[in-house]
Amino acid sequence: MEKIVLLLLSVVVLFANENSLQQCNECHNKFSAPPYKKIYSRYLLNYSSKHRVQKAMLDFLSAPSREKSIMPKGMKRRFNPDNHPVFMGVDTMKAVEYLIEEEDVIKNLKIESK
Amino acid sequence: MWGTVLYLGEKRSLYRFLLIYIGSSFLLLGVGLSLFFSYEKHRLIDHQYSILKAQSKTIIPELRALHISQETDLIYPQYKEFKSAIYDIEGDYLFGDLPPEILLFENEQWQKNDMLFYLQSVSPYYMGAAYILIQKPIDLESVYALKVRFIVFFVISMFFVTLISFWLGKLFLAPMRDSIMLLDNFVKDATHEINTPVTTILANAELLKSFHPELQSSRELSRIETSSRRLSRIYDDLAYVGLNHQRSRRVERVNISTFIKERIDYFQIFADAKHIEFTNSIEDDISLDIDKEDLTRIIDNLLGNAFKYSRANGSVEVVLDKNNLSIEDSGVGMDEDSKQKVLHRFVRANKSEGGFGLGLSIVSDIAKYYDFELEIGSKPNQGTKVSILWKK
Repeated sequence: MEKIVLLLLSVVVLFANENSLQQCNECHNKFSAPPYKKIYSRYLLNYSSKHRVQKAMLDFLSAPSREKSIMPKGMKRRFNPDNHPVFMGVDTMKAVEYLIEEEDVIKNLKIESK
Repeated sequence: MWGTVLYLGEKRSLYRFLLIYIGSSFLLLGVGLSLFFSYEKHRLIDHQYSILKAQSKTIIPELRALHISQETDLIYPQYKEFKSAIYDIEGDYLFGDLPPEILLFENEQWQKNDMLFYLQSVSPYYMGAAYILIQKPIDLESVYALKVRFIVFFVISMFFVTLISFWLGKLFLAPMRDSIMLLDNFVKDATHEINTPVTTILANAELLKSFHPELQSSRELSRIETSSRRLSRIYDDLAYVGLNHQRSRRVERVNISTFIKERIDYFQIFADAKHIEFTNSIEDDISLDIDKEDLTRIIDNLLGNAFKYSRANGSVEVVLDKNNLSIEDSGVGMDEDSKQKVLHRFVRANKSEGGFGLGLSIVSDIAKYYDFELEIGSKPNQGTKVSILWKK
C-alpha cells in the first residue's frame, strides 16, 4: 500500500514538473525568451552556488521585472522581462531545480588522462 | 714541583672561563642564528607563496574559456607544477585534480604536511567557481640548503669563538699565574729554609737530653721539643701538598700495629705537655699494604689534630682493630657544616689553634688513594672521632 502511495506521489510530482516545464518551454524553446543554457550561465556567473542560483531565479519568477533580471541589456531590450509571467509555488521550485540539474556544467568537466 | 699544583688550579680556572665564554657564545650565537634561520625560512616560503599566487591566476582565463564554451565535454586545466580545485561561494567543492577532502581555510595561504596551499578568489564566478585552491609541495631543497649554510656558519663561528676564548683565557690568567708562581716560589723556598733549622733544633734537644740526664724532666726543653716537632709536621704537610701527591710511593706490607705504637710514643710528649689522658687499644699484628710515609701522614695528622684541639686534662684514645683505626678526642668538636668543609684544603673548623688547614685534607686524599673510608663523628664541645676503615 505504501509503495502504491509513493508511486502515485512521484507520478503527481513528475506530472506537475512537466506541467510547469511545458509552460516554460512554450517561450524558452521557441526563441520568444532566452534559452535555458544562456540563463543558467548568466546566473551561475553571478551567484556561484546552485542554492543561490535557485533562490535568485525563484525571486525573479515570483515578481519578474527589468530591475531583477540579470540578463545583459540587449536581451532585456529584446525579450522585455517585465512581460514575463509570474510563477510561484512548489511546482515552480521543482521545475527550477530540475533545470539547474539539467544545465549543470560541472558534470561536463573531465580530467584529461595523462 | 709546586708548579704542578698551580698549573692544575690554573687549568681549572681556564676550563671554567672557557665553559662560561664558549657556553654563552654558543647560546647567543645559537639563538641568534635560529631566529635568523626562522626568518630566512619564512622568506623562502613566502617567495614560494608568491610564485603560487602568480600560478593560481593562470587558471582564471582557463575557467572563463570553459564557462563560455559550447562543448559538451569540458577538460579541466591541469598543471605540472601544482594541483588545483574549484569551490563555490559557499565553500562547497566543485571540481579539480585535488581531492574533495581538502577543506577550505579562512586564510589566504597555509602550510600542511610539507604542502603549501593558496586560495585565490574568483570574480565573476566562471563555472560557478568563487575560489581556486592551489596545492604545491614545499621546495625543501632550498630549505635544506639554507639549513646546511647555517650549520656550516655556526660551526666555523664556534671554532673561531673557541680559539679567541683560549687566547683571551690565557691573556686574563697570565697576571694571576705570575702572582701565584711568585707566591709558590716563596712558599717553596720558605719551606725548604725551615727544614734545616727545625731538624737541627730537634736533634740538639735530644742530644741535650742524652748528654744531660738531669734535663730529662726540664719543662723548657720539653716545650722546645714539642714546638719543634709541631713545626716539623707543618713542614711535612707543606712538602706533601707541594708535591701534590706526585711523589713515588713504595707500597709494601706494613705492620701498622707496631707502627702506630711508635707514633704513640712519639706523641706522648704532647699528651704530657697538656696533661691529656692518652690511652690506646691496639690489636697486635695488623698489616696493611701502604706506603710508610702515607701511613705516617695519616697517623701524625689525626693525632696532631686530636692533641691540638683537646683541652688540657682531656683525653685522646687510639683504637686499632683488623677493620679500622679510630682516634677520638674530648676536644672542641665541630658542627655539621664544618664537618663537610674541613676536608677541603686550607679550611680550619676552629681557628683557636695555629695551622694551615691541611691535615684532614691530606688524610682524605691519602684515604681516597688507598680506597679507604674516612668517617668523622663530632659534636661541638664534646669531641671528635675520626675513623679510617679499610675493610667493609
